[in-house]
Amino acid sequence: MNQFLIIVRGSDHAVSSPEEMQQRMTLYGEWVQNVLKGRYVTGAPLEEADARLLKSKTEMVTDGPFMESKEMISGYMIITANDMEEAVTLAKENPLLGKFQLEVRKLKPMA
Amino acid sequence: MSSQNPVALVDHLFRHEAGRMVAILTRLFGIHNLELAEDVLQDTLHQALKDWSLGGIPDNPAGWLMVVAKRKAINIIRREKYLRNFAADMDHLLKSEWTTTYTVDHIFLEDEIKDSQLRMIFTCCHPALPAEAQIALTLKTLCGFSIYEIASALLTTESNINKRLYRAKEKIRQEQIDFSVPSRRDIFARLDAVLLVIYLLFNEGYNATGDNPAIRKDMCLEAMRLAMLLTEKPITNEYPQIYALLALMCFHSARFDARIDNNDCLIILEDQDRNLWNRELITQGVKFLLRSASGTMATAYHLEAAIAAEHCLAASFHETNWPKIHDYYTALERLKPSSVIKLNLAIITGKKDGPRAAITALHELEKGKLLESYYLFYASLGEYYAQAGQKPEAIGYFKQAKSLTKSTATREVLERKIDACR
Repeated sequence: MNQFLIIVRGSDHAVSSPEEMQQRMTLYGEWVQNVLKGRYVTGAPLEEADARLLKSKTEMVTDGPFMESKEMISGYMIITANDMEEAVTLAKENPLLGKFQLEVRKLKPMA
Repeated sequence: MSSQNPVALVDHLFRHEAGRMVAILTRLFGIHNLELAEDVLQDTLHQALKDWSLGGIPDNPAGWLMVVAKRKAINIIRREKYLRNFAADMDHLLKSEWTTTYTVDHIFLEDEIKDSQLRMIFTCCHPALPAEAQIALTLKTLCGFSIYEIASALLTTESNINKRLYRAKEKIRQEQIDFSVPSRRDIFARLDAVLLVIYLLFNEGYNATGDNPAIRKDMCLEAMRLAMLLTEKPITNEYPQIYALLALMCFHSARFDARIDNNDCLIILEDQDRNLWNRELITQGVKFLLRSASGTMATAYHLEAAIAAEHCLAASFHETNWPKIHDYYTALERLKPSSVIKLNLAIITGKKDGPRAAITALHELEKGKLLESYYLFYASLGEYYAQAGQKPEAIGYFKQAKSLTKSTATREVLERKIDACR
């Protein structure tokens, strides 16, 4: 088994009603539970407000994630899968897709 | 965060938590800042959606929402304390850095949350607001319905609902309506207004007039939930009519699914599969009905609940105790004279004494002219003429009934009746 990093790009978290939110979270729960079936390793949302880009010890750009919002990274998750094919198949079922772009990257085993 | 096994979300968690959060936030900010409370709620939901869909659903989603809402409330109070006044009875406590957190913490305690919700119920159902504004405001603030959901539940447009809500909020400010539970002296009359809103909510949801069955059913559940809230605090839970209304809603809800077939068509009482009736709700209804039988007053809710109980407890349509139901309707008519109840009485007369008696009673009613635009009046006439074997008359009345209802489900039932007469 390999680990894959899914980078979530975009920031469309607009929600029109509590009930719509319920539906979106239910879909997400189903993805983790029924699609991934124990292959979810970890994940986290990123703070939007504060980001620093370090270019060297002395040079630092400070103002936010300084990218177009659709390119902004909202968060990440790590899942396990046999190969890239399978990781992509699993990611395609992620309900965030459509509102967000997902970048799937294989983590190099370091052992 | 539970990563391996995200907890399944409780049904309507967000809607119900939204109702609780707006109530508490309004308790802190004051009813004049209702919009601010709604903004904080929106902000909290927004953050939850972002964090949960990337980091997993927390073990205690409701608790998470409350903690975030509380933190946001404290931030707002610190930021805006020189710009606004908050709830009058704790404004100074909230504005002093020494007591802000303590005061907010206290209001977020479970018992205080219930108290805030109760205040919200009495505010939304304040008699100074027009009835339709009361209903819209209740659905929005207490039940967490979106504008779209309210509009489709009440069969009107979103802009209409927005206008109603806007005017309601204006009125609350103008009349300086208090965010409070009325005193013992006033509570009786005010409770009547609250129960009426709950009753109307339930009826709107129960009677198939819209095209969105899921939302309508939710509205019925919400009405029951609000009534349950009234039973949770000592100041309101001693009034028998609350239990009568709850019983009534249980009996009707028990038949909810049996009333509608696979094609979303209404099935009339006589043809319903009684095995589909929800026994649990009927038992619950009987319990509430027994609990309501205290004190000296029989309200309309008592009588309507008793009638619904007779239907739910009858083994079959033909074994229904029509004479008893007739008695209840007669009492109801005396208590709350209305042409709709007279109509029901005429219908029951037919069950008790045969179609001829019903036709006479119905034509008697026709003279009053109050029912001339009510489809059920003509549908009933059609039904009894059909039973009496006068098919051309029956078809005429069914057609007239059909032209008076917008509900697709009801129109289809009538269409089938017309076909059956041919």
